[in-house]
Parts: sequence; C-alpha cells; structure tokens
Amino acid sequence: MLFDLNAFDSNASTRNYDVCICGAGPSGITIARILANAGKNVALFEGGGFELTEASQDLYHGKNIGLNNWDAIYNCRLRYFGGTSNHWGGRCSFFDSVDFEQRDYFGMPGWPDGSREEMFKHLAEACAIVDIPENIFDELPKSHWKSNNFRISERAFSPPTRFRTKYIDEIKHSEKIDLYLNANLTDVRLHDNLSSVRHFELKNYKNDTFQFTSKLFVLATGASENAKLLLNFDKQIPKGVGNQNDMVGRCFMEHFNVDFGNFIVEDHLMWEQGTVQFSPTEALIRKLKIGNAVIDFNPNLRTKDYGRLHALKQSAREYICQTETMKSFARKITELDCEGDGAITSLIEQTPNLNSRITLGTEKDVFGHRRVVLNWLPSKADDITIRTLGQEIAKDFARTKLARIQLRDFVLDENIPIKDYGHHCHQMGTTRMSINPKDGVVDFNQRVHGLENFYIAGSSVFPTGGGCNPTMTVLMTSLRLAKHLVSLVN
Amino acid sequence: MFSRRSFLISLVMQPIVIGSMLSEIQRNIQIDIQPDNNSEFVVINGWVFLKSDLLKMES
Ligand SMILES: Cc1cc2nc3c(=O)[nH]c(=O)nc-3n(C[C@H](O)[C@H](O)[C@H](O)COP(=O)(O)OP(=O)(O)OC[C@H]3O[C@@H](n4cnc5c(N)ncnc54)[C@H](O)[C@@H]3O)c2cc1C
Repeated sequence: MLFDLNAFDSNASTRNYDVCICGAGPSGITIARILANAGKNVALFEGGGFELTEASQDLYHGKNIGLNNWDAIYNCRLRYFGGTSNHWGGRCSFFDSVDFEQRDYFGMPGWPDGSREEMFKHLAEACAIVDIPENIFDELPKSHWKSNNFRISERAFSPPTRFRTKYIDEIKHSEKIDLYLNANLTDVRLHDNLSSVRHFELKNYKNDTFQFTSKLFVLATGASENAKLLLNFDKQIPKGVGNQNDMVGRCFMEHFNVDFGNFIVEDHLMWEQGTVQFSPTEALIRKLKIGNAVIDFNPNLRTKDYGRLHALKQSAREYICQTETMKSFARKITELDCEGDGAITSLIEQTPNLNSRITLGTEKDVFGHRRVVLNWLPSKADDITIRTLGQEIAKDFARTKLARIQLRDFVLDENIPIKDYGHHCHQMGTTRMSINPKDGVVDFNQRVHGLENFYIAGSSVFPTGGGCNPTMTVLMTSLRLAKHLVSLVN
Repeated sequence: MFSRRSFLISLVMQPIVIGSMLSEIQRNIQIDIQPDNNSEFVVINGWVFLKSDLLKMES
C-alpha cells in the first residue's frame, strides 16, 4: 500500500507494525521485501517522493571541512524513493578474504569473525537483486602475463538496476508493506529505561508529526545520514542515540581515487579489450601491510591505425608520442592521442580512522536537525598504501613487461604531499560493527549496542571498506539482517 | 584517426622528433637516475624501468 504523509491528517491513527524501516534505498527496500515475503507487516518510510524535490534534497546539505573539493555530502546522495541507486554506476564486486581478517596495522578491529561466511550465504540473492548472474565476471584477458603481486580484479556490471523502477510496483501493491512517502524520520523515542525503542517520530513537509510503533526498528538512510540522525536524537540521551561511547560518526571512510600517472602498453594481448583492473594479491597486502585496492588502467587505444599505410602511420605516431618536448606540440597539430594518455585511476581502501568523522554543525534544517559537518581525513597509513601500491605496480609491470608506467612525483617522493585523493561517492563507516561496544555502534547482528530492538543497515556498519564498490556488500548484509529480523518476529 | 595532412606533417617532423627524443633520454638518464644501486629498477623522469632492460636499450 502506498501513502503520502503530506496528505495525512496529523490526528489520523497509525497502524502498528512488525518492523518499521526508515529509508527506501537499496538497503531499506531489500529488507522490506524479505520481511514482506515472510509474511511480516512492514512500514517503509521514505523522506522523499517518487521524484527528486528541492525540499527533500535540501536536507542533505552540509559542510565539508576535510578532504574534498567537491560537495560530496550533498552531491553524492539522492533523497527520494530508490535513494542513491537512482544514479549509481552499477559496478559490482565483493570483499576478499583478507578484507575480513584482523589487520593489526589498521589500528582498529575489523569485521567480526565469521562475517565472510555469513555474508556470502546471500551472494546469489544479492546478484539477482541487481540483475547480474552469479558467474559473469569478466573473462580474463588472453595475456601470458603472470604475477605474484597483482591479480586481475573480478567485477560485474549491473544494468545498472534502479531500485525505484524495479521495485515501485511490487511495493505499491504489496499487502504486507505500507510505503509512506514524504515521511521524514525526525526522532527515535526510547522507553523510559532507555533500553529499547518505543516509536519512530516522523514529519511531513507541513511539519505535522506522526508516531509509528512496531516490535523492531531499522535505520537505513545511508552512511552519512544514519550518523546525522542518531546524533540529532538527543532529547533523551544528550550525546545521541547509540553514542554512549562517542563512536557515532567516527571512522567515516571513502575509497580514494588517486591518479597514479601514465603508461605505455607493452603486452598488447592484455590490453585488447580496453581497460583492465588490477588488485594487489592478498599475500602482497599482508606482506606490505597495506589496504586493498583496484587500479584501473585505461590504455586509450583510440589511436589504433587502419588501412594500407598502417605501419608507416604507426611508426610516425610512435616517434611523436615518445618525446615529452615534442609531444604536446605535435599532438596539437595532428590531434593525436598517444597510447598511455589514458589515466591510471584507482579505488583504494581507507584505513578506519577515528578522526575522519561526521559531527553536527550549528546550522539547522527545516526539521530543526543540526546539519552534517564532514571531516574526511586520510591517515599516514593511507599515504603509505597509496605510495606503496603505485610503486609496486610500476615495478611489477616493468618486470612482467605488461606496460611501462610513469608515476607522478608524489608517488615516488614521500616529501611531496598527495594533493588530490579523489573519491568515489562510497560513504562508509560512521556506525561501525564491533564486538566490543567501545569500538563501534552496532553488534554482529547490526543491533545498536545497548538497545534491544533497534538496527542499522547499509554501509555505515562497515568496520573496513575493502577495495571494492560497496553496494553488493550493502545488499548481502541487508539480506542477512532481514532474515535475522524475520526470525526475531517469529 | 590519422588524417593524410597530419600524417605528412608527422613525416616532416620525424627528424626533429627523433633528435629531441634522443637528447631527452640522455638528459634524463643523467638527471634522474636513482641512487639506489642495489635496486633492480631505475626511475627516469617518473618512468619505472627494469635496470636490465635499460642496459639493453643503451647498447
Ligand atoms: C555517483 C554514484 C555512483 C555509484 N556507483 C556505484 C557503483 O558503481 N557500485 C557500487 O557498488 N556502488 C555505487 N555507489 C554507491 C551506492 O549508490 C550506495 O552503496 C547505495 O545506494 C547505498 O544504499 P542505501 O540504501 O544504504 O543508501 P541510499 O541509497 O542513500 O538510500 C537512503 C534512503 O534513505 C532516505 N532517507 C534519508 N534520510 C531520511 C529520513 N530522515 N527519513 C526518511 N528517509 C530518509 C533517502 O531518501 C534514500 O531513499 C555509487 C554512488 C554514487 C553517488
């Protein structure tokens, strides 16, 4: 059933549910569907409507005071039904075994033991949700290249699935899911003993307030917003709900997108299909004590020459392209792209860092919530990972004759600061999963430490971010959580 | 794609280009060669070479 909270009379009595879920992005929609298929009554609250509106998106405004010259806190997220999947890229990949290990050099505990096994039980279902068969990872290139240090990254591409388009009808017509649009979660009220949630408080855009009760409650509003909301729920607990150990908002993580330099193709078989992505082997990650990553090599083969004069043209091109001084001049005249003009970009794991965090500013939104202040910070360990990866892959390619790499100066010289860390709009951390409540906000089952019936979903629960795009992991953890909630309601 | 015009231009330019390329390589080897003599690698103007490959190129 579909309801618009803007059309509700504030005195209207509201139904009681098995589970209330706030946030209709990939995570919230997935949890709602699993519960509904198991016969549970679900309320799914979405702050936006079916289309983007200024009133809703404005609530995502905040301040960036750390890294980032692009207003990621506003631009990376979309606040309407389907959430950020309305503009995600659809690249899908998975955490490696090493990502689940405790890596002492990270300085913070990682995923609890058993996470990997638990999560991968839901792989097939997660693939079906984003419309990829389980086994369509790209064919490996036909090169004879062999390396102990780098492997070709496995990935698959979702069409990309837009959750709004794919699930709108199913949810509208579901007898078990009540979807409320324009329903903004503005408070979570606890029972007097402060050990469980009594109701969700929601507002429409006319500022009318509504209360919804249920057995279990789930917050699934994305990594930055989950933290913003918990910190703003300060009427009963001044530090904010779930924040008894001052961990809400901490360890905000992104994936760095560092431009390592240029390269010239050597082993042509490898580059026939265009961009190839490499990751450090798990052994190399352990040995060098670095984060995981994907390094994208785009060989820029647009310069392929055809026709009877192919050989001559190619040699002329090579002469021009091989000189630094003449290259720019010659290219201006000939409008020529040289091989290796394509960038080496990357997706690099960020170490969990207590100082990289979301806090609240003084400016308030229309619901009286203080807006987000994002202080995204890299650590020394991150700089080591970045430089080590750049140098190691350049050496590996020189050794295996895959390509010759020209590294940027900051990769080779640690005295030159890394100016542009880049980013991927992969916001993670902020309510991290931990066995010890001192190290995080939720337990292994994503239940907020110290609260009996309150759960958090999405990438905010990631203790570490791995070297891969996050949404498959968001889906697998959400599927696991949903099934856990079914068993609790039963 | 290479046009006929740009191809002719590149042919004319070849001697100049080769000359500047050679002088550049020489200059870079002198300036940028890394002090670590034990390393298997040499870095010239950011380009990472296997030392043995470079020796082959020079000869
Ligand atoms: C440009 C871009 C490209 C990306 N590409 C990829 C990719 O290729 N591969 C990949 O794996 N990932 C990618 N991602 C990341 C991916 O989009 C996220 O991982 C995914 O959307 C997270 O889902 P979610 O449900 O946790 O959060 P979201 O999608 O952010 O959904 C949160 C929902 O909560 C709602 N909400 C927020 N506040 C409230 C409130 N107070 N009350 C009620 N509702 C609220 C929002 O309106 C929204 O619908 C990309 C992201 C961006 C921005």
